[in-house]
Amino acid sequence: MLTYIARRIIIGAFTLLAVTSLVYCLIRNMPGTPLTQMTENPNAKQIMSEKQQKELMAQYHLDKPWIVGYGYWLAGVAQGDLGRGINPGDRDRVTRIIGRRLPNTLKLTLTSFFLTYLLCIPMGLYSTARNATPTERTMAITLYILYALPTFVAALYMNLLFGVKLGWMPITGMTSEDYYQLSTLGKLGDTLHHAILPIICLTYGSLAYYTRFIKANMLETVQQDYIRTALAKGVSPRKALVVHAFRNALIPLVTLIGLTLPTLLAGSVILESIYQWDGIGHLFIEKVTQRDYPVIMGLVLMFSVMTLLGQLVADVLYAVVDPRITYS
Amino acid sequence: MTQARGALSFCLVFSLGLLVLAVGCTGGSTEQSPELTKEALANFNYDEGLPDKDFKPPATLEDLDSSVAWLNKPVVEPMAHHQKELANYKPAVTPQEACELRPKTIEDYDEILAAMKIQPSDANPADEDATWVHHESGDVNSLNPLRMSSTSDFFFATMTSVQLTTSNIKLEPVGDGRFVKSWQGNDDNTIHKFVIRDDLTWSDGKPITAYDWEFTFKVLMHPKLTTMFPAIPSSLDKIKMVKAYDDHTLVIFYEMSSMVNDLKPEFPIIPKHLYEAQIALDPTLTDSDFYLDQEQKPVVGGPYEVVIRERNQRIILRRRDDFYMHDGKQVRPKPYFKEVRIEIISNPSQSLLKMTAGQLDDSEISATNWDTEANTPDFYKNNIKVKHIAWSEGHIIWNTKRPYFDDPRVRRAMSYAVDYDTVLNVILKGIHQQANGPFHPTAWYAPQPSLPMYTTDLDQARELLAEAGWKDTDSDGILDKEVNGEKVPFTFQLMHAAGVPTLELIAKEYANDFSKLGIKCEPRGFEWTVLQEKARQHTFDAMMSGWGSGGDPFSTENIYATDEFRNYGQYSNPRVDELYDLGFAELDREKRAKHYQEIAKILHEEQPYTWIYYRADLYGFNKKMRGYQFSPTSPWFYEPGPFSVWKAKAE
Repeated sequence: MLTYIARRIIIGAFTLLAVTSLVYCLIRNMPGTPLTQMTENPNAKQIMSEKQQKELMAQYHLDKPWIVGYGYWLAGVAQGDLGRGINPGDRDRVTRIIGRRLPNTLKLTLTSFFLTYLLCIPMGLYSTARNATPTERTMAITLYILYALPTFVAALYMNLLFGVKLGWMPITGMTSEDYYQLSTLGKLGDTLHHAILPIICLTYGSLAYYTRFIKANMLETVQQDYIRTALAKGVSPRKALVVHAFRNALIPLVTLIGLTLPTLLAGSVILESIYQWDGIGHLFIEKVTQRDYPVIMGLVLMFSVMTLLGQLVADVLYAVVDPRITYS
Repeated sequence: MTQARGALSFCLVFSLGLLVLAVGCTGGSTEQSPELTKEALANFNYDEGLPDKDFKPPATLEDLDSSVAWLNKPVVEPMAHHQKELANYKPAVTPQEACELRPKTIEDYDEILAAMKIQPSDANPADEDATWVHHESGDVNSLNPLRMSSTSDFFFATMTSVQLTTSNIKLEPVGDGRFVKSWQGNDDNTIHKFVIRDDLTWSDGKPITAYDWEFTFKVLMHPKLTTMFPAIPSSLDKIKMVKAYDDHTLVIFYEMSSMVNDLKPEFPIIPKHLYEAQIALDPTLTDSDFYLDQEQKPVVGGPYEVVIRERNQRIILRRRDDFYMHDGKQVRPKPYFKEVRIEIISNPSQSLLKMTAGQLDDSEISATNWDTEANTPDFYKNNIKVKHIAWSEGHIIWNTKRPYFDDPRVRRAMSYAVDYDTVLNVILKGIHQQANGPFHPTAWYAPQPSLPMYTTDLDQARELLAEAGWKDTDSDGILDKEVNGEKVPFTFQLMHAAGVPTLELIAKEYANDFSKLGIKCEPRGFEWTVLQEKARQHTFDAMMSGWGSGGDPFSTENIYATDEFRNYGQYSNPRVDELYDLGFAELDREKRAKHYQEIAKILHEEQPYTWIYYRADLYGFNKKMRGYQFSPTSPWFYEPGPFSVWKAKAE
């Protein structure tokens, strides 16, 4: 197993090199540079001078071919330095820029992730147990509708109902204006209050998908001979379903956890934009528009590492939960 | 089941733990050792960036005063002046009546604005404990006013900064009486002398002196710091030196004689006593704890100070008592609001929802929502809508170096081909006003009488195209012309910003209009940054865009003069270039106006752009808000602008 993991890590390093060089090449060759937006100013008499532009180009190696620029970036990464943002609004270190936003995204994605798994399992089991009954059919139709419902539409209607009409929920933002005067418990409550609508939007689609996924796997598993044997030996249907069938149906679900890892960090561009949630998805779009190469590269590196790591974790978990799989 | 319960408990505890960990974190500050600071200061030459190193100003103030005959320039304390002007003002309808209006015509909007501009009185005093919840669509880039470059930055700077001069509602430069006692210039306007008030303090209690301005100028010009300030240094172009002769006397020396020099002292400042050592220690202006602290709670000199900054969320400002009080006496008008909360919401639909719910006191409303979501009983329950035509304009830029548009007759033909009624009244729903050139007719530098509007006239357009040699020689329905021995069909691409439904509709309408002349126009949307890059590289045929305008026409030089930075269409006319130079150098406003009026006439004749509309500023205000008025740029970017709004105590 260890040899397998070591081999995967080495292959992963080459994959990272390929991904980052390709992305760097693409963004450097896209029309527009970080200076394109910077030189636009609402005040017509204020423009960045040519001298300023040249100095910035040199400072960020934009005056050199992309491959040289990539070399500088790679050398920085090797020394643990992802560089600085180019946009004058945020010349901070890339690690700090990303670090500021990451907890915000995780607040939503991790909560949604746990909620999804907490709810989808009982719902999946319930649908299996009540298969083909009117209740299960109603549940299935509802889940299909939820799966198809775009998040921005759901967000809009929830905002109208809970934010404007009833006034129960905040429409935008991550905290209230009096957040800093609150106690720790008060802060937690306030954060939850602001996170409820985005979390619901982020959760219902995946909940619908995973519930259907569990039900499909369970239906296949309950047809197996060993379940029939267990029932014949007098095991109660509930125990046969939960203890015997569910364990095996869980295998593909557990591997999905690993593959979900990158999406936890990527956040949701649409929801973060709607709810003014200062997360990674929002940051990515903002920086692509600004052509802020160091921040874009920092994010790409993070997503790539997490994707590779997620796949590795999925494979390892697969071997752990299913004794038939070995990586010798 | 026990396992399932265990897993459930673990997940809940883990989720809550993460939330607890994620909430709240604080920053810190450090102090540098005096030796390190001394060494850094010794190694950092603040004079390195002075524009004219050979320039030697008079050594003493007496020498200067004896060599110059000073002429007084206007100094106005904006709020006191505004309150005095409106002391006996009685609008035709009361604000309460105005709040019930459902405006449709421009007269309705004017009536509302006339009612709402009233100022507090003894009978109807302002609520001095009130909070103003102001909406901005983007976060402030930096709380360091020298790094400002967006409209949010400008708003923040207006609320917190100190400046020598400002603009009044007509966008004329005046000395800012809150900060200066007097402003004088010499006969050719190459030297300005300011006497700074002696009752000014930074929010850390230290006095604000003329040396803060001298220091800020050196920082802005310094070669090691130049990339940190994207916008302001260019507005200080042609300043030779800013010199403090004593704590309260500041003199600015300019390279050239120009009335434009009156606009240059309007730059914000930073406290020398804090920044001098810190910049020497860390010229990145980013990394040290000092800068991190200043990005959260900067030391400011203006009416409000920062209480809380949450990036991309909100900035809470609080009124500074030591701004309007000095030594126990009130020395300036007290700002109306105790607190100003800048709420940052980038999604326009969300800000409109928040406004509808009564959670914002003002917000700019998009033209798309103006007659729909911003026209419902729910919206009117808490809010009122106001509209004011700004001096900004929307247009089509013709790339004059392309064979289709190198002839002014063709460009005029294009302007005659546009169906203005459909574009302005159907697609844009009559919100904006038709334009006839780069300068709004009410501007002091616009031609009088106003130039005629281009109207739809297809016969005239066909005639002009034929004169320019564009004919359908091969009967394929598309005009063509021989250019450098090759037959060129009149087929061009019209570039516009992607993802804006209204722009897409307008572009389609233009394509339809031009097709009636046998011209094939292919509209194409581009991402904003790509669009900007293509404009700058001149790699386009025609482009839909818009320009804002300041109070002085010299700022349009970089748009219409030959080879200038923003001259995307590569228009060139030596007479226009000459007139810009003459306008810059002329000291008499009447004569200056004549130069710019001639420019407007040439541009009207040669149509490097087809001007379509002057953009309306569209705003929603909570019904509790009073005192707002619009300058030609917005309700905020002039004085008293944001300081004239208030909420009544009785409401």
